[in-house]
Amino acid sequence: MNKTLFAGFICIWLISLHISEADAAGLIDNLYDNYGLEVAGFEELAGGVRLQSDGEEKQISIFDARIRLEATREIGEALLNFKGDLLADGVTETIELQLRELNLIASPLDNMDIKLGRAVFTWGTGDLLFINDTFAKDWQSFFIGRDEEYLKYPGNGIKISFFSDFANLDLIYSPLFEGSRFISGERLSYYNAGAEKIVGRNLQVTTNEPNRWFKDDELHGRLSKNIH
Amino acid sequence: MKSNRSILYTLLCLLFLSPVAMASEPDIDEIVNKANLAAYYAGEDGRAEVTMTITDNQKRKRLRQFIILRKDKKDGGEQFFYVYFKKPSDVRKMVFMVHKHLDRDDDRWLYLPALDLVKRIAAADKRTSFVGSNYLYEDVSGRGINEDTHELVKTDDQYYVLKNVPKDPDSVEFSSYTVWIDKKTFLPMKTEYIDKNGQKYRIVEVLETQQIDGHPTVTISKATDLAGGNATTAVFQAIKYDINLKGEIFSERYLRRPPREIRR
Repeated sequence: MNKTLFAGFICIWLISLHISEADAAGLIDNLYDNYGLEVAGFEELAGGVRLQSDGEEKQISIFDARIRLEATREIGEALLNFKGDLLADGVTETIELQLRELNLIASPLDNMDIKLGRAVFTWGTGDLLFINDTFAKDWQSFFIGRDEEYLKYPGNGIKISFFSDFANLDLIYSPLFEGSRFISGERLSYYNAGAEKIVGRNLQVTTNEPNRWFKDDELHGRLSKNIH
Repeated sequence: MKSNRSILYTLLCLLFLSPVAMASEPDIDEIVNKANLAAYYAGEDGRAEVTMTITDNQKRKRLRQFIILRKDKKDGGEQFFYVYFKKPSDVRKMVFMVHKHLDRDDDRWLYLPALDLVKRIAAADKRTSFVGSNYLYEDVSGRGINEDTHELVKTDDQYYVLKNVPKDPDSVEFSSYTVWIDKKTFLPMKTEYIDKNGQKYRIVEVLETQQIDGHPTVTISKATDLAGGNATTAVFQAIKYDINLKGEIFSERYLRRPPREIRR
């Protein structure tokens, strides 16, 4: 990715900080009143540098310029959600459009909820590392110091939940398996057993990602009940 | 003879009249009960939009805006609370939910929408700050009336003044607190907390009340930390009572998907 393009993005990001709060608030109110769109977002600049040099990685551990946009709209009794990031990553020198959420939440029956689309799914219990949560994580983002939110990696699928006094059943079907973003050497170095040493960018883990829709699929299920 | 009889009649009158005169002033248990009901149990359920402004000792302000739903299981008894945060943006769409119990610790949940995580929170620390404000969890859900011994120290035209001492002093940071209860509405109008060194360190006071749907309601209140020099002002708006909230709203299902009563 072009260094000039990247620098250009940073300039636009900095200039956009000068949009006055009143203008932004006015635009948000306008979107809600006229289109029923609830809009929110933030801009973030994150930077980090290694205090000890890592022979395998760049000195800069993180350099993000991020613009987040969230929008929610009611469609009848259902809810349409969107959450996206425009990220200029100074370490990988890329500009990415990341879709975190694009889903529809509806309740077709009294005791049934559906969530369809791209979303973050979680049913672990406990605090940060929620051990029993087996959905995809983004370990790289977590360890380079991005916000806690980015520990979870969104997935595509349909979640159907049934509720009753006896117990609740959640089912999630993903037509294509998406694994966790693990430490591959791209940003953080790791010990490679084969090479018998710590390696990084010059020996990144390569994977054969599943790519057959509906064949490399995934089904999750949970039966739960609150017992006082 | 005449004067003795008149004295006798006077004494008899006093004898009969005095219990009636005492009955018109409620006893301490009745005051405490009525104050608890007035403050926390008005109507069967309710909704309010709350804006909390937290001012620190350098006059810098922070805002917390949320919508609170409450349902009483029984007057004076168990309750459900559902708090949906709107501002600032780092707590937006987070939900805090409480199942208040009298005989045991409350059940509390926090929902983090960015992680889609339902977190159970330990209820043991009721005396910690609610979302960084000067209000404590116990201020929001109510302190059990049997946790303290209550003593009526003064009655004037406007207030019943009660002094309250905790039955388990180790469980709280104060040694006692004094509350001024309005005689007409039974709303606690001001509470002063005394710490273990005998110093007044915290005040919670009502700045404005309104009559809403026949219930005397606090519309502006303020909690001040005298030692730290910071305070929180809470403004309650769009207050509605008896909106037929269903009990099932106060469950994990609706942590992940805010009910209709939040959006409207």
